[in-house]
Amino acid sequence: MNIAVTGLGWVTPKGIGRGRDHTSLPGGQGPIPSPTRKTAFHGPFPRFGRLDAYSKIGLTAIALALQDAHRDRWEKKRNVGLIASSFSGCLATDMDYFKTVLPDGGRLASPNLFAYTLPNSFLGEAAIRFGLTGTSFVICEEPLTGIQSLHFAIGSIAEGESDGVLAGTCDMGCPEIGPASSTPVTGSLFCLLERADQADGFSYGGIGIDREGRIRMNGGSIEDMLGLIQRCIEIATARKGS
Amino acid sequence: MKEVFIASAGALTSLGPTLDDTWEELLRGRTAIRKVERFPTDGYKASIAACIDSLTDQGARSRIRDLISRLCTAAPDIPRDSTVITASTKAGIDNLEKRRKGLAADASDMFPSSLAAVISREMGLSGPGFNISAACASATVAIAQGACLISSGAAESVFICCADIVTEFVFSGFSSLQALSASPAQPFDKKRSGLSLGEGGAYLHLVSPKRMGSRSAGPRVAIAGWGVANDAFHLTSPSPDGCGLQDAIRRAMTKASVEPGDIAGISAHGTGTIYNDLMELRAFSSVFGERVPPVYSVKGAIGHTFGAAGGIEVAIAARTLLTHTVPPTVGFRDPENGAEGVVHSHPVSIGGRYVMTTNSGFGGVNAAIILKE
Repeated sequence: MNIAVTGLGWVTPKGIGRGRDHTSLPGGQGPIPSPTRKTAFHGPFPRFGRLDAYSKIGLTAIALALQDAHRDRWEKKRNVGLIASSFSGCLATDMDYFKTVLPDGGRLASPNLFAYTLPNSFLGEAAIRFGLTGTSFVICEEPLTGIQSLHFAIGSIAEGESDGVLAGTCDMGCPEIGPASSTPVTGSLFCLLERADQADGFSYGGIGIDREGRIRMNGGSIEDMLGLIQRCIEIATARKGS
Repeated sequence: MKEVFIASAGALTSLGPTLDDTWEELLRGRTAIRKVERFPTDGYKASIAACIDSLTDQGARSRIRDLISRLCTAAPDIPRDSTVITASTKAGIDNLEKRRKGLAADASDMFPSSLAAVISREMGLSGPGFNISAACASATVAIAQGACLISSGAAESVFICCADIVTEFVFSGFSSLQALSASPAQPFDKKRSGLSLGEGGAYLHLVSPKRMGSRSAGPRVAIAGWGVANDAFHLTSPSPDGCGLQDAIRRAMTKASVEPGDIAGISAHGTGTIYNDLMELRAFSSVFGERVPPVYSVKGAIGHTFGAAGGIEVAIAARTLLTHTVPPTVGFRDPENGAEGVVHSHPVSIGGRYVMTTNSGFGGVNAAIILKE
């Protein structure tokens, strides 16, 4: 089965962007920009303000990737999965939550914050917001490359389990706890993979797994999620120039 | 698609240090849910959980390291090229508590990926592995993904290890959500009032037919099907109609090429909360119609072991399949509507070659596994 990359979105230190806009490039180290509701969502979304920072960057990158693929609007729920990789997960949120447990013997523990003390909570928010009913889980890995999430995403589509999968990485780091991960990029990076025969006209190119188990896109080897997104942008830029 | 066999399985729960112990105590209808001594519970809605008293957190280590270490010790030799997948929701989050109290605490234990690295080291495996986090369906999803790796030919051997521990962090959270029951959980009972937390872990060694070879002359258990689906409804509450669970079950049955009538028993998530149990009964009724097979939950006995639940329950379900016996649902007395004649407070004999396990979790995750003898 042919699988295509049809949408890209990111929230990284270099900036917030989506594939076909070319207004910013992904990557970099340092502070991660804080997306607001208006960054990626049109219309009311009162819950956005209650999300923890980790969920905000993850959900925003997913929304941008769906917009890039023109898949953000929906009427019927869709068999699209969500698979993300992370190293620190929601540890920063864990610390914020536990601060609410300490006073008064836990009587003031915050149920709202507790709901976001799972690395996969933001995937649940994305599923609700965009009507996505496929598989959804987070892979906690070190080093954080996102390659595992791409492997499982491609496998899920190839096995016929999903029509599409949003695969990516999401990591805020947690300097208060450490240790430092050998994470190539912080922030969130997501791409939408779809069955090529169901893609809506536009595609950055085909993606698959070769016999040695390596991820390949348009013939080139992909080593991590950032590399995949950069490769897609190169392809789109070259097409514009030709 | 290659078949996926369970070459070996083990569990360590509050009912006992081995899967045999847990199984025997389950059949006797025992519960391990009792007063929590590990931290003060005065400020919470409940004061009980199913803890493994002998777990230690010596020095800077988290209790989960002791749990993982015991599971690794109990497991048989695993081929060096095995892929390690762990399943845990909060890993060694007790070390965050220790840090807040000014005690020595190894920070790496708080990162879920560290569990796979520890196992890989302890068992002499070649790859670092990774952790799968899907809330209370983490282990179920990990087993599904491990089975997928083998069935697609991407791996020959996958070692799944799931573990979660009772901490004040998690206890306070479920208390704040008003989800804890003051008395031991009563899954599918009309008077149920919430869940009881528990701790424990399990390992499952999944292999391809080639690796299974002539490993065992006795009955074999295969993972025949799996399905994972999101209900896209609410972050912490299941969809009342159980649409996500129905979807997961149907996907698993399609993968296993079975009909509803082939399923002889169901190990349900059965947390004992009002909404979860009702949702499950509705989903089972929608899929199985008038002929819902015997359903049981182990959470009235060993508590809700969150991320580890699916792994422990698959290990127990393999016993259900091999012994043709559905264990009693401890704490169940007065059936909820739809549970009459389906859930039992005593062991029930079953026929058939297939049993199913199901789990659901925060974030709308639902997962089902079908085992075949």
